[in-house]
Amino acid sequence: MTEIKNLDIQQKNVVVVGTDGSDAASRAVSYGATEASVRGSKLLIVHSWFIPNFGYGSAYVAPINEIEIAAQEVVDKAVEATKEAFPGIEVKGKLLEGTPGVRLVEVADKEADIVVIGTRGHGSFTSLLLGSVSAYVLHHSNIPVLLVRPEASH
Amino acid sequence: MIKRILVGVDGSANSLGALNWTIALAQQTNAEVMAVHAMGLKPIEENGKFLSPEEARHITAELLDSVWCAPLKNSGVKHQNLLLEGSPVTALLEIADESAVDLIVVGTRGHSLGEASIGSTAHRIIEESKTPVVVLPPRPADG
Repeated sequence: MTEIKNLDIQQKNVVVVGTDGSDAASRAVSYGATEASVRGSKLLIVHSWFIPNFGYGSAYVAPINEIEIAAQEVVDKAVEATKEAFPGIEVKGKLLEGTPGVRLVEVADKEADIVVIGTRGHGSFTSLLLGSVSAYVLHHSNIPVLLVRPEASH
Repeated sequence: MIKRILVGVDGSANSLGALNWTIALAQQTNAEVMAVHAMGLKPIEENGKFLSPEEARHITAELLDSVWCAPLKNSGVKHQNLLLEGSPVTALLEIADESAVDLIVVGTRGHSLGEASIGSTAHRIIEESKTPVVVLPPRPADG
């Protein structure tokens, strides 16, 4: 017999949304902001960066500072745009180092009531449609996952 | 804004969890809930014999209203319970489109069996829905 436990809709008053700076992600961010405003929650915008692994013997050294600065810009831009479009809600950004899906799930499980993420919205295989990050989040999250397609309107 | 939320119900524990979550969201947003069950194409067996389509429909409608959707009735949230026929995915997405639903809520797994953490119905809804979909985890996180 499965134990029935109710999911609390709101415990932490935070909606978390992942972004990579793409158009699909900004759709998800604005949907997340809508969700936060109807719930009276804060919005936390998360972006993760990581150093691509070029394998053994690679002579290439990633310019870590540049990557991190660019990543911080992704967060700042998303936060600014959202604050402007949704003046009624508290918006915060968070930059994390590591694999995007893994980091997002960690933050979401700890700090949020729901995690919002964009999907690519095309392709016949779910993995392709979702993208690897949203697929990871969908399968590993312990909190509700709101998937927003690029063409979704609200 | 979220004005109308569609939730699939099938009487499973996860579907009850999804319904309760939806009710809480609807209370917060003053949204209307559409609780939808699609009967599917398989005949229903009871005590070793198959029910006629009319009987099956009658019994399922009864279950939907008085058992599966009981929390909805008790919540005071504006709602409608809908019994549909046909493939759950198609029926659900059609009604979502027709009724201008703002959000679809699905449990991770209903009555289906298997090892994947996401049921095939939920998977196809995520894949095909134009409306944003909330997928609930199979059980809440500890703590």
